[in-house]
Amino acid sequence: MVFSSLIFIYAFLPLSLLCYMLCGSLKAKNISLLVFSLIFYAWGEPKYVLLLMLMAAVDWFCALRIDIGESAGERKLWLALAVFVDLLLIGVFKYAGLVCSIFGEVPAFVQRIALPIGISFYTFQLLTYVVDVYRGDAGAERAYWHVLLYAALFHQCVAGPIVRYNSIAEELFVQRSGAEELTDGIRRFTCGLAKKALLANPCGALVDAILLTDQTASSSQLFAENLSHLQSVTVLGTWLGMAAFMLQIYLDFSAYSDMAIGMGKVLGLHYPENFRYPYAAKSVTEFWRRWHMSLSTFFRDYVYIPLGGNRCSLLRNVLNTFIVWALTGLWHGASWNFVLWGLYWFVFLMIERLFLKKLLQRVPVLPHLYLVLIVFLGWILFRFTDIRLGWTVVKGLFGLNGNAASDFLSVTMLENNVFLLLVSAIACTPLPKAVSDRLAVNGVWAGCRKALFPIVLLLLSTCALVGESYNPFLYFQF
Amino acid sequence: MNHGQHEAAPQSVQKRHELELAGPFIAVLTVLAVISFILPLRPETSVREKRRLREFPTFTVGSLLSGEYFDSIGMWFSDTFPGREGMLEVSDRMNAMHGLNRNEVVLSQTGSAQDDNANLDALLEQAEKEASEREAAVTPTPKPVQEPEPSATPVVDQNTVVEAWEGMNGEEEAAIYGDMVVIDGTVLSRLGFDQSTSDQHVALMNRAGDALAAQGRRFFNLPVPTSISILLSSDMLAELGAADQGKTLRYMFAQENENVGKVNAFNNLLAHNSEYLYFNTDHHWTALGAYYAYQSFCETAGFEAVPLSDFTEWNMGTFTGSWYYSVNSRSLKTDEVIALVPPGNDHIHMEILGYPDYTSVIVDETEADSNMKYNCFIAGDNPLTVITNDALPDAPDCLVIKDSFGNPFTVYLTQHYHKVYVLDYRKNFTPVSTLAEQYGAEDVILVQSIGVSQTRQALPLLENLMK
Repeated sequence: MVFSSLIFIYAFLPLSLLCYMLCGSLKAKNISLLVFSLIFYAWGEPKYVLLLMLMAAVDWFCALRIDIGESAGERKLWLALAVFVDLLLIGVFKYAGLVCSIFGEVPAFVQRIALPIGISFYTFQLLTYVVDVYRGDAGAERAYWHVLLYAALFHQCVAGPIVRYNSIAEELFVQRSGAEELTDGIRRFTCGLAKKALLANPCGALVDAILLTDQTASSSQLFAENLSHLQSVTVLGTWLGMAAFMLQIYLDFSAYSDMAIGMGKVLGLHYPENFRYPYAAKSVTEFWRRWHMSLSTFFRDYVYIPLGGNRCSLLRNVLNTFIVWALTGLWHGASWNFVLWGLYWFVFLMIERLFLKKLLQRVPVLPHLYLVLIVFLGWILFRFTDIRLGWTVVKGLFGLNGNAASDFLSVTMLENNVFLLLVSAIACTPLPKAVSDRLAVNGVWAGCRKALFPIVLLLLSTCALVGESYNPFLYFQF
Repeated sequence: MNHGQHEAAPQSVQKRHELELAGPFIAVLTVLAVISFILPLRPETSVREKRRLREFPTFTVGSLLSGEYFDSIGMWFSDTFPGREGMLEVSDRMNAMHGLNRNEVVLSQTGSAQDDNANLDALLEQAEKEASEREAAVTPTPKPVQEPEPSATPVVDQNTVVEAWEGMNGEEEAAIYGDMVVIDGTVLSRLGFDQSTSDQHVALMNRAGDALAAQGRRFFNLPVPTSISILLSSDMLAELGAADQGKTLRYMFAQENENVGKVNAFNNLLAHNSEYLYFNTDHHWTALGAYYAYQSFCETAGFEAVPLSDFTEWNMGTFTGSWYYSVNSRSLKTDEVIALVPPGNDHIHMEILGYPDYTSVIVDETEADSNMKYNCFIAGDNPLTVITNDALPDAPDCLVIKDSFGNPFTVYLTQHYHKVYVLDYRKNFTPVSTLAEQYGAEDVILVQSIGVSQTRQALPLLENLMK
């Protein structure tokens, strides 16, 4: 189930909220949340809900042992066990195929392993829990279902943000505010829903129409046809398709985070911000401080710094950075293009660290253009799991496939989506929020923004979502 | 009053204020949620999309464990949401705001005949060269038709059971045309050329021609050009990546043998392309388009075509074609279905397997939904239809094998045949030679869109038919 589905909006969400509100105590509310979270997860993956429960059980048990461990060695042993089990399970379910492909053909039984929804998100959340307990930053939970609720909470279980245990534990189990931020939460949820249904989905449909659907592009059997198709796309079409993808991926992913944060606020839970207008950045370094912030900070605090961070030799620091970005790439998908995508960022971060960042600070507009171009090209690596197809698209951008500059189809598609792309691009900037905040000084507008605006967005999104229209979620399987 | 009370008061005020502001949203959400659970409000069919909507899935343990069961419930919930048609209208209007919409492009993953456009010229040259080397490469002079025995009126046995393929019905047929463009308010399918399916089609035609010739029957192949190739210039076709269907036809005809009567309607349609030959919102041709193809057929079959002026126009009203909802373009020109009632219509009656109530080849659809008007021609697609012209008791009989393009065309055949047996090859699997023999049809005529003949899905159907 995705948040941007009618069954979630009009069946699951109202029922879960109703049950939540009917519960009196915090414990009862949490039990209600847990039940609905497990139903939410089981809706898409009935079998893998057991895996989620198993991983939560392992981490709950290990954290308890860490908490009562008498020696540093014993505590470290239990931490190592928890980390090992978590990484083993994510390794088997997500990366077995990739590992086997290194040594030859992927066995049939490995090919049959389906990727459990959200495994990358909840595994990382559980890792933060055991590590925080080990570091003494959080106490170990005595109740197993508390750990399970933390990992399975449907707001963020399958698509983030990655919420650290110590940042949410108090609100989750000790004291939760009431309805003080109810309208903020509703507004955030509906903004996310509209971003997804009204902007990201049409952008995605445009991408698929021009540059193949994900499913088609990933099919090795269709490689020759896909290659031929991509070679024939005009220069204008290629730029248009990739620009639409660049908008789609941000709007799609940030929309999901908006919806998660909004639902959290409605219940008095505060999840970390995951995006801060990344396309408005002026360097790659800044971009990654604004893009998927909960993942970046996870890698910083749980991988980069433990490896030594920058308090070590230059060579070691470069190695640490390399490891972090290779893992970042790998986290996004079990395919070599994702690893290359991670290392692509590593290269630019290194270049910026060496000299480019200082250079960029001296000129006014160029940094933005540089960032947008680098991100744009990076998304090609991300979009095509077959690197040969990605390379064909890169060549297509510059007419190196023998492709025409434009044709009737690409010109028509540009004309017919020009306003969509414009509005989507504006939605990627702080401008809409700035304008809305400014207008909110006026009491009437402030009231409309809270009371009327969410209703309009909800109804328009419902119209766009009815009838099974294009509604993928790009980060769903990460 | 202590400090705690000071804080509690503003907090409760803020809570109340928040609830007041959130009230309208919660009310709307609740109302829609309640409505969504009122099952009688959930539609079962969509007029806009011309399809049955999803049904609530049947429970199986396997589908439960795989997650398919819950997925299907989600899709059912969304697909049959109360008020969906109105919501889709709003959605269409929002989509129309995405851009300028002077022209439209609807790219589809379903189009399969886009493979060999670049090779068409070379393939055509080779095929025509080989054809000219064969002595019998020209269409044979039509053989004199045997004098038929006036037969007792055969009645369609309503108990007859035909084997039908459910893989492609009339609605799905529209989907095979693949990418679409809208130019000057008309939807056009960006159909290409597929050498492989063309060659397989030629082989089937030759096989059918030989088999029917062995029975002493004539076989005519009438591939119907689609609108794009008749309405657009060659330069525009090239820019769109669409095939020149005139060349596609020549390529196929050059390889068909002397037992296949090759009906080339392309040039005649092209000569009249300023007239209303194709619908703006649908993949079909109009009755007028079918008439010009009928003229070409008469030329090949040795008949004298009945003048257009002898037919009477009957306007069925505004028509909303199957592509109307596919492109959702506000710039589309409107359509109307104008049937051409044949002279002597009073003597012509029709019997349809499964639908004994229809009696006339032109059915009154003036009161029908706007998307159903095309059914006025021989009451649409049916497994087996028999049309009898009592005014021509001595004329030969024919068997028409057709897709939906054949419906308006069939009407004109009543002017030359006593009985016209009409078989929709998507709905009736009885082999042609069996039917032709059973009915004693002297001529067998295949009327099929070039779009369908270029599609892999249609080949197994024809193959079965030509056994």
